[in-house]
Amino acid sequence: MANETKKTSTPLLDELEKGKWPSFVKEIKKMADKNPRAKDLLGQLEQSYKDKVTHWKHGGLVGVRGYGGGVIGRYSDSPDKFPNVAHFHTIRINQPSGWFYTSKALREICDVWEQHGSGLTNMHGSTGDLVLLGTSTDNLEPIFTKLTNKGWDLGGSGSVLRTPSCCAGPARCEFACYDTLNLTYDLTQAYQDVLHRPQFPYKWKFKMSGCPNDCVASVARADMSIIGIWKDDIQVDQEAVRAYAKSGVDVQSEICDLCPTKCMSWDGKDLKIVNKWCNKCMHCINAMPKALRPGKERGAAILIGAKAPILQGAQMSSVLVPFMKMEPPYKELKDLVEKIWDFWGEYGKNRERIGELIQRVGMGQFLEALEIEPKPQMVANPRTNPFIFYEEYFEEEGEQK
Amino acid sequence: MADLSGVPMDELQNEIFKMVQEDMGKKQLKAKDITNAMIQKFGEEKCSKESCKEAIRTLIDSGKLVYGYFGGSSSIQVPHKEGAEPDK
Repeated sequence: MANETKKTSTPLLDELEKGKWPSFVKEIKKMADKNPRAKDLLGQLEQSYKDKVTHWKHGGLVGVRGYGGGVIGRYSDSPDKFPNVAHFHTIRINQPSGWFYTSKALREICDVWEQHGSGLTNMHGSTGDLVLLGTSTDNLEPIFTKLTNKGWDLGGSGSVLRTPSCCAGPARCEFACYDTLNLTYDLTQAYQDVLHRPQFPYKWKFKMSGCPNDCVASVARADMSIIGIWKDDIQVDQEAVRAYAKSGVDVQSEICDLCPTKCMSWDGKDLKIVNKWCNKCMHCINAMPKALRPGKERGAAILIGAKAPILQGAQMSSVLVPFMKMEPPYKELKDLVEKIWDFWGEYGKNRERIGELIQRVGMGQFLEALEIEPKPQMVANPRTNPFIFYEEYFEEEGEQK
Repeated sequence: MADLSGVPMDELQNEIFKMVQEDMGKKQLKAKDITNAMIQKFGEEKCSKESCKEAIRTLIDSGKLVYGYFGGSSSIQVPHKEGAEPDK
């Protein structure tokens, strides 16, 4: 590997070091002093800023033996000019549930990465994985061997189950309605084969959120969002509500008036909630966490079909199962998931996400194939109900004729 | 009476390899495309999704076929030198 000591001139990138915020340029420059890949990365990036065009090429055959995911090929289109980033592949490492690491574990990864890669990482990628940025094809197998020897594994990329990810859940949050960490770990173990060997029409993402605050933004990103929810009444400590009011919270205007379903009233003494109107928006609980808590009968709502705008526009997920108990061994959830995968595998086109397939065939067909009864909670948008079925009406009409 | 004995694994692997080789540069084949083609070729009685899955796995593990990746999507290919890969 070429290792010139001469500093790269980067007048355009230097602009991005100014100001108070941490700068990625500053970090790459620190690494450039000791790693030639980081040095050429700076050079190529400066070139891209000058030319106003990317100099990366993407995709290909790179990977480790037997795995179809976890490595994303990246090549420079100017290898003569920047030989040290001629290959600059990305590696996804399957992160632990909730992104909990010991400092020792992080050092282990960094040691391997400084030896075999650019030394630059991304904590974390939007998939949730721990991302290692920039290595060459001949380093992939040694990196994989060293990481797996220490108990790590690659994450997902391509037409696979992408690395399941979750919020910190009950490990750090009082609102968690189910154990997101355990479910994430369980699904990761149960579906190793589809995580590493592409078998789907396109990508599939699970994201687990412990409560409707949805800290992992599953509703916007996951093909299946598993969002913690409660079935019974919000737990209210009236004394604590009065304490909030006494300390200056205007319960009427800050809590009741901002409730989207107007299910709350405050008479200056007691907060009353019509729980059957509550749509679990979490506003009141977030505003008065010492006074209000999710109910005691907890589980998760299963939503389906979110995606970012890649082939078609962005889509949010919508409710498929309003409430499911979320306890090991998660049989009900796994049965549902596998039924959906079968349907998708059978009818999905190449590069078609499940949300797009549902849009194409219609929610009615999808529910029928899954043998799920339509429910009022399955609304894609407020004040719309696209899942009203008139079949019986038509049958009756046909019979009369 | 229908012959219900399955396609021998070697034969299935050879057919899969042949298909991927013939379609190289023309189609980005996924596991599903290969499975459907094999079931169509041999019939459901002789060839199952599971046997295709096993055959693909063996071919991948042996390095005879590899997974390719582009734009978030995967395909199964015969190993070749990348167009994007620089000369060493």
